[in-house]
Amino acid sequence: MRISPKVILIEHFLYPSAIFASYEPARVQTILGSCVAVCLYDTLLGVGGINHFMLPCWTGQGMPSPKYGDIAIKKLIEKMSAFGSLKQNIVAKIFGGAEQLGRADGSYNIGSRNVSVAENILAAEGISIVARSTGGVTGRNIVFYTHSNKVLVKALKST
Amino acid sequence: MQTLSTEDLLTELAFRLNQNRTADVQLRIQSLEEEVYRLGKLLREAENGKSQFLSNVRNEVNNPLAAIIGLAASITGLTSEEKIRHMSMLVEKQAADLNFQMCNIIKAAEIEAGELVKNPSLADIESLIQSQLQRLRHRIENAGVSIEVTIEDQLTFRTDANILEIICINLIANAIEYCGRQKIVMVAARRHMRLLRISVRDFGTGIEPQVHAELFQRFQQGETGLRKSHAGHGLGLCLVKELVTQLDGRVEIHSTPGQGTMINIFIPELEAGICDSQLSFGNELLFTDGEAF
Repeated sequence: MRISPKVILIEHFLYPSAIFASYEPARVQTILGSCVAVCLYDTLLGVGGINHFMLPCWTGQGMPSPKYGDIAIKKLIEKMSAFGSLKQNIVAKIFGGAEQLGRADGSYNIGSRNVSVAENILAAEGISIVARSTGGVTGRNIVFYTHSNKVLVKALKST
Repeated sequence: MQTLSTEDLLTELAFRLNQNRTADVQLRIQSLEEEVYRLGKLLREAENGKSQFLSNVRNEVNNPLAAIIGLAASITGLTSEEKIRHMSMLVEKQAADLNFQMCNIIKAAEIEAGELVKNPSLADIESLIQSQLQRLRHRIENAGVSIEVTIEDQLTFRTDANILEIICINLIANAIEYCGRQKIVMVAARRHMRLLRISVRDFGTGIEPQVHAELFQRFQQGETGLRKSHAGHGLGLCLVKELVTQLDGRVEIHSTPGQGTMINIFIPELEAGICDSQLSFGNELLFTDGEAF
């Protein structure tokens, strides 16, 4: 792993349904419950990007936004390609997908479905998952350093 | 009575199990076929929507642009101050229309690209709504609509003002477009519990309940194609719903054919600079010790 000597200039808080990718070193923070964040990193160029999606797949309702895993991962890969990244140099880390128990709105299993969508699409794109912290019942607070691919994860304390 | 041997029993059992399995497979195939059909239908609708949108853009972006270019060219040849003023007003009107449409298209593109950034600030709701009415004044004058605004005194709310502006302008523009013969549009805003409630009401043609859900789809309008009698791309309400969702709020629609439509939005207050708030990474109360991946 190449540790960039550059100073981090950009601090970004990633909201749900958003994507962030940066050519400059950036520190991106996001908070995940049943949502999943996929961090992509180009090991050759030393650049990275992250998404934060809430639901597995777009079903044709509403806008095809990165709220949905299938759209969010494709768009993130597109952004990386715009930096000149080739898929064979990209590695992925996935986080989140906790099950929020006792939800009565029929959205049971959202967390694990989000995780499996990420696994499936990354596998189909030929991108390997090199680290992960998924599932469980607690939310996560994560910080991703786009230039070094380092991810710090803190679990939300259960109350 | 014939006695069955163990072998016969097993063969029969295997046969029945197999039959069951075939039935299961057939059911599965049937449900998959239904799914394929459903997805195909969605795809066709999406394709349809896209081509309608493109032909719409041709009319509704190109026409004002052509008018602006034409008017601007003729202004340069004018000497009468009064005429110049009149023509400039026409240019401004066309440009305002174009600006409104472009803002919508750009916001929709931002949402689809995942690039919508939320900047919380304390917004003065009265002036926010008044400035949207100001932006729509040409439409209001053209349609001869009277707007009744009721806003709670000194109403300020922490939210993304830019997003809220787009939500409001779309709701009001829609109400003006569809207000029918009763040329009244009512805009109200107040705090409702800990939420901001904005409602926009017209007394026009109203919408059949069975199409309420479709209204929030992209490129959907009551009428399409040659029969289309209303301006716009069919992007407004879809955008409103997406933006309200981005602000963690919800949209309600109450509409009765012949009596008009009321759309309410409810949004919660946005956290001020969430990065620095109690959710910050270093908070020892909420989070366990970190782990590196």
